[in-house]
Amino acid sequence: MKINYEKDTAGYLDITFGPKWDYIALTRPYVENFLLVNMTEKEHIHKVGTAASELLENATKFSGDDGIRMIVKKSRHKNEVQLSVYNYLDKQRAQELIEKVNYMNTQDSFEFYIYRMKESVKNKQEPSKLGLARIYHEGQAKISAFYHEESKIIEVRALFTV
Amino acid sequence: MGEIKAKPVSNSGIDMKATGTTVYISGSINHPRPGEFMEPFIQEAHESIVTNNIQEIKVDITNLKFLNSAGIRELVDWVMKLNHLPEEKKYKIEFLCSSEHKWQESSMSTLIYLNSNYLSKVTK
Repeated sequence: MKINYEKDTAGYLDITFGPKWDYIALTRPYVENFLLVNMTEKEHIHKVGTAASELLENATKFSGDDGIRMIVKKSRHKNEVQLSVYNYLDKQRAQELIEKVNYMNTQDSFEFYIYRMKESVKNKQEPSKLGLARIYHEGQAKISAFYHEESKIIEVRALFTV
Repeated sequence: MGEIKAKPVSNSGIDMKATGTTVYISGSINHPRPGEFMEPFIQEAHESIVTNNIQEIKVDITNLKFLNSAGIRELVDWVMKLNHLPEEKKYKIEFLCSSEHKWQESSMSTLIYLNSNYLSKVTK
């Protein structure tokens, strides 16, 4: 067995937990402190931390089975941080999520965030569905989603320019 | 001049209280359903502001370290309550923010866009 996760990165963090809501609040500052080792711009660090929190909240809410995984990679050669969050999800819901992400990516981030804010208060029994819009606008992240069909795992990825 | 009357909230690491014409929200909001405790407080504060014809209030979030998107929704809901008031009943909200908590600049700038005539923010 060989562990060389740090290779070709300027920071690699891999955490698996829960799903348990109480762990999310602990993970956000941990991610931010981890990034502080190789980054100095607090605004960028905070954007990644907030996105981690939002994606982990979604994963915890919608996971179809135990286990949520998060990987944070700071590129060594590019000014990029990649955040990926994985959880179990059935194929239909995964497809719906992928379509939502694809649709969001065709929209202006600010207008979409405002739209989602207004929509979020129309039915407060439903989840706010603001998290992805927040990452897209406030974090200015490139968001994508992939379904790993053989393992029934959805991966939501946010790529930040830092 | 009237003052805001709303029963203080202390729940899940968050405190909400009103003193004079200032609402203070502090702590860190990570709760999955923060509306359970934020909404009753905001509703009571909103009704008190309208009943007492208060024209302008401050919402001090300088000690609010984090607010998840479900918490942002509760602030959006407050703004929508304000937006739905008749013009003569509307009141101004000035958000007092801290540059220490980076989320406040981006989140509150967007929130203010929902009613730029009545909402503003000051960053300390």
